[in-house]
Amino acid sequence: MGEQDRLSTAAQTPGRLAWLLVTMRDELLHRWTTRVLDDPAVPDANRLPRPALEDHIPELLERLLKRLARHPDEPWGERVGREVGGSGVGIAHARQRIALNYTLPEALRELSLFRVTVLSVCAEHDVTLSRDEAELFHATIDEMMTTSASELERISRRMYEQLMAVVAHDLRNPLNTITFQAARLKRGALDEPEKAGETLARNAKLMERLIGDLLTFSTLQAGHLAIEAADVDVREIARHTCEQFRPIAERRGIEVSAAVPEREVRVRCDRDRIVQALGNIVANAVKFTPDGGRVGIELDADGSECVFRVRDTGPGIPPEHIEDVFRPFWQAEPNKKGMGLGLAIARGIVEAHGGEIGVERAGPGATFMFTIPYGAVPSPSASLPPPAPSEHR
Amino acid sequence: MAHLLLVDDDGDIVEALAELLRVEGHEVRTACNGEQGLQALHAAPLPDVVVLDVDMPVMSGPGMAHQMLLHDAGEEKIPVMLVSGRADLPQIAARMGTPYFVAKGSTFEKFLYMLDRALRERLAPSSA
Repeated sequence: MGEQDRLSTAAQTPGRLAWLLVTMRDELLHRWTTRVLDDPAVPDANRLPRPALEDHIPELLERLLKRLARHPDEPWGERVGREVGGSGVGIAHARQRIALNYTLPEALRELSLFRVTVLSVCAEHDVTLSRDEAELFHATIDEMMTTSASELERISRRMYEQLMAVVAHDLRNPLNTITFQAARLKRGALDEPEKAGETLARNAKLMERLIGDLLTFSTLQAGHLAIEAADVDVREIARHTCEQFRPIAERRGIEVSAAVPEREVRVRCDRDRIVQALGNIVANAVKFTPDGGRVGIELDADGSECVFRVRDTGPGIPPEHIEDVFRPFWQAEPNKKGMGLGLAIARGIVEAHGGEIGVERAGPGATFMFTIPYGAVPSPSASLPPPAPSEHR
Repeated sequence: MAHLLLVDDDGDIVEALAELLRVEGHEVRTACNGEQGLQALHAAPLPDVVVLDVDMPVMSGPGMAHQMLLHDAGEEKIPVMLVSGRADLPQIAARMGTPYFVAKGSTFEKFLYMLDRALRERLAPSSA
């Protein structure tokens, strides 16, 4: 609806609410965004540029206007019933907020603030709502809140189901090996016990790592990741990770190395969490590096922050997906095994330390890097980046 | 004694399973993805059953089964048995038109049971 159409619709609408919504439109949006940005219950709003923040609010205003416009003898309830695609605005808005990592209380609070904004502007301009106007106004906002809530809930449930399916799938592979090795033992079909023991240990360890990742993902999802900081010489982390992956990489002829400075590199951090983060990045590098390639871990202590780098000789990442790689469930090759959570978890852990993570070089031959401030200040509730869009099916 | 082809990208699984099946008296060949699986197929003799993983790089299990169907033209209808950790394995098997599937992590006895059914179909096709 263009500005002229809005004005003429409002002029023909009984009561003063419609007129106010059209003539004070910009003022309403401005006041609302100010309230939202100032509200401590909506912290995620401060990350957004103005257009993203406003999102579907202008459409909500249009809907209100259309509903208010009626013949004097037509009850508004019937007109609302005639509306086609009524809940579209609520669903689209909810999906946008979810993609921006909003929580349900935040999304609802924004809409509640919208209600308050309109009512306070009405009061300032001595506009008293008729009973019909009030019913219609509140019902429309309530409807949008309900739709948003349902959509957020639906997507949450889907994410949970997908996570469970992925976990089951990925744990079943190493479990399968363990089951079959047990069968071999039972049947006396084992001529190299040491090799079998090594295989069992490796697959059990893989299951342990997957379960650890699952628990971390769940904690990050809830915004509860706690960082237990201590003074750590992080060179040990680089070396440990190298040792951890060497046996796995060697089976495919991949060389894993670690380059660390000669002197101590003391960083205040949660050692086990950084090990987890670095391990996930290296696991990813090994997975995507062809047989006979190289994966190098580097620790750089020259700058104002401590920097970890992982370089591989794999095919690299398509430039359009550089941001996607850190999203939960995103996978470069859909048929490759793996939960698609490793890098998302790494990001959550790094950011909880106040650091940054990214793709320094997209490839061919990718380089992943992350920084940790020396006197890292852990953030109280680190959370995950939003899941990849294909998730919202 | 049967000829079997195992296709799975997990080296540990393939190794353990191949050994177990050889002890049972079968002849086993292996491949690590659908593309390699197709190449192994065309090396005589033809297997009696193909055991296929679903999610594999280069070419998936369903991808390979589809290629088999195209080149088969109904001649050598080799039974396919799917093995996977996916929760939707039954649906994938139904789409592929095979009644033979077993979840990864199941016991070897369960695997043998399903394999036995597939082999019996192979040996007595007229009763299918």
